[in-house]
Amino acid sequence: MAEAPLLILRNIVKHFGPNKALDGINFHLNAGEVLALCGENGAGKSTLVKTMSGAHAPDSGEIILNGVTYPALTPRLALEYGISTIYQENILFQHLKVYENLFVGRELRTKQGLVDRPLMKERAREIMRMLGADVPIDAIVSELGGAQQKIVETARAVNSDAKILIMDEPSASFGKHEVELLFKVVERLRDRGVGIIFISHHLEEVRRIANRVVVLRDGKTISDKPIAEVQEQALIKDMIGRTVEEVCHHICSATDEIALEVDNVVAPGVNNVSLTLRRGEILGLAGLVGAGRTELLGAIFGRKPIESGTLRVQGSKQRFKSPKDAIDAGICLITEDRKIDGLFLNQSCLANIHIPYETKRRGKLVNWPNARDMANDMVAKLRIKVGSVEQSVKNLSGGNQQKIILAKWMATQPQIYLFDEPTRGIDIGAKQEVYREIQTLIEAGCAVLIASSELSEVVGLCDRVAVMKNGQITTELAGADITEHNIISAAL
Amino acid sequence: MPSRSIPPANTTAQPSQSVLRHFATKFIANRSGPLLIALIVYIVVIALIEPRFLSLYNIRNVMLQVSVAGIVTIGMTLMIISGQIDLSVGFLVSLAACVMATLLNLDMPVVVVVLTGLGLCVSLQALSGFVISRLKLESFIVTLGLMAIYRGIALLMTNGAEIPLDRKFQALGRGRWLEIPIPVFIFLGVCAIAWFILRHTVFGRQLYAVGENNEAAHLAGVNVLKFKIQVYALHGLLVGLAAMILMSRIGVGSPNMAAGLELETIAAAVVGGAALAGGRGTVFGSFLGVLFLGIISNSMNIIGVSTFWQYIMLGVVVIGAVIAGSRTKDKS
Repeated sequence: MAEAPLLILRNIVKHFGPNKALDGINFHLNAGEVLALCGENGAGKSTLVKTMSGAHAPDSGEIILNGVTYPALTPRLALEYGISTIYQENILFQHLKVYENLFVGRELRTKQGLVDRPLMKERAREIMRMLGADVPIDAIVSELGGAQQKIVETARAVNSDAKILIMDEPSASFGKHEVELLFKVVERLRDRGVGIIFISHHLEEVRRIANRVVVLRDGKTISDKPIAEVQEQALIKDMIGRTVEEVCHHICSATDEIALEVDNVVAPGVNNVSLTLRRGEILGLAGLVGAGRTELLGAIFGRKPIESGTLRVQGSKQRFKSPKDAIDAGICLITEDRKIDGLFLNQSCLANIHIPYETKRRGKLVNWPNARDMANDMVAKLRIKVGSVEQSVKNLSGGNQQKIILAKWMATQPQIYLFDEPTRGIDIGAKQEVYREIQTLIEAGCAVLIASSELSEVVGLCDRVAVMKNGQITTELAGADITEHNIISAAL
Repeated sequence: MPSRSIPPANTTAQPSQSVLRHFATKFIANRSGPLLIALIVYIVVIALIEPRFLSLYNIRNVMLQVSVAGIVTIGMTLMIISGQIDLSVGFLVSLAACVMATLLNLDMPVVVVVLTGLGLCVSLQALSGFVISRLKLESFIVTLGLMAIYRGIALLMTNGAEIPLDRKFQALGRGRWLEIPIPVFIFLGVCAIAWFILRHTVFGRQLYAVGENNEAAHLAGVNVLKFKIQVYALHGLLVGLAAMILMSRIGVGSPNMAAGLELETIAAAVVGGAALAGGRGTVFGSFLGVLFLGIISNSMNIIGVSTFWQYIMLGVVVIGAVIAGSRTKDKS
């Protein structure tokens, strides 16, 4: 018999009002393993994480830590046992240096009671060395990349002697290279005997890093298998409760008509890019984070003025001074992070859907019955789950929020859709619906340009793929050449 | 409506009942609901202590007193919804009044005076709006600077003295129609127009969008720069209007006549549910807010509470409203 598990959860039940968020969760975590926690949005992952970090007290069930049984944890208790949580949202102090972040709230002091910076730096260096991470400890956190920031958060957990590390979608916004950086650190920690709970929507990542996979659905533990026994199709079936033939499939409907022509465009972060996009076609933009994909989409959409080169939309030359001009020319942009620049979070679905439409229409007065009908139509058409269109978008799931964004643009009837990470942070069910909508768009003759870090998405969805590197398109792949391997080797 | 307890055999009472329920639920859902209840409770309590409070004379007095601050509060509400703040209003009102008073004393035609006053406020506000949004500056800081500048100009212009109007230009501030002061009509008219703009125009809807998320609004096709200049200009128009009314009512132009107006109007808008973070606020809420603050100071005067206590009461109400607002937000 191996040593006792670090943490055992038994029959954890948690209600929020009439909703059963957790309905008898059972699993354990061993020292020195990476346990992947999978499930759709709303399966109960976040609630479970909060139960383990002591933020929520379960209604019933037992939590066994080090052989001691508790009905509930408190944040203090969780901290004392070394349970550290890294949430999806970055909680670092952006204006402080890396080593300062590691010691916030537990600054080391000299005998005189002053902050001992040299000692703190030394410790920080040690931790980074132990993690095998190449993060400058004197850097200001806001100057670091996303993966490096996650590593700093991990280092902070290590500095507080974490025995159990819970990582909630740590890599959601990373490119392949960055994910690998983070995973190296995770592996080091695992080898030192830390138990890691890893939450992710990316099945590739789960396969890469996890030793064991626990699937949650509707607040229940559905399966608990070693990674070797996990098959992707079965895993998806466990997560969504039905089989899915393919995560994304796509029927080609490209025409010969050119919708968008980008010719030698230079813009901030974009270095002499040319591409053509046909009506009914899906063109993928692959590449590492920082390769210039977001910048290219921004340049096409008029977010930053183009320095040189030309844009042709449906054959006519365009010079966009602002997104407004691009919208008038029939282009729309679904941005990378819907919460930052996609949605008006505190406003209703109705307000979110009708703003671009009203703006493009250049009307003076709002026709409320009309606007409401339009929003209701969109909600029905895209199967957005809302009580009413007056509901605030803040409380919708990621998938439904993404559909609201799609709805607001579809209302303006664009011909060219620019997607930046169209399915980031949304669950498999919602992903498929987004793919289905994209398919409907191209069948209707729209042109679609998708920048995505998710290779299976790029491979499954696109007719052609342009791979970017250092602001340039280095390779263009089509047909059978579109493979994950070809994309990665072109991107690196 | 008969209020008998006998249940009617036919169903004609049914629709009115559901209409009543509809309004009741709407009222509870409305963010201004609790504020309205608090205001009514306050009025009842004060009226029990001092019945003179509800005299026609006093009601008219309160309404007249709040109308100048009320008009500026509506402008401030527009600014706050769009994510801006304007600390310069108090001294811009003073400056505009001094300019207008000077022109009146030079025997300029009233039309010229009025247009100059309004034009000055609109153009100064539009200019600061342009600078603030073009250079992406904090409106708080810039308008703080402007507050000092306007004050300085007004003091230089007048040498720190008041400019009496000698009974000129009195109709606007002191006139009455149907025994109701003209400024009250103007204030209510401004409220009605602002309500219509916020509720039924694309401009109004964009105001909430820009205030909530500037970048998302830009990406949705709103010309944010032009938009903000329009908001500032509209706000400037209201400031100019308020300056004219105030000057006319008190019969002088003075460099300190509206000192503190910025805090008063921000407080009123916030009590009415506007959020300094932008994207939230209503005309009705701000109307109640300015009325509430006006009623507090008036009622305290009537029951003889010292001005010193009034400040404390004002502060308690502002903070209380913010706490109440944050509680209701959490619940939803």
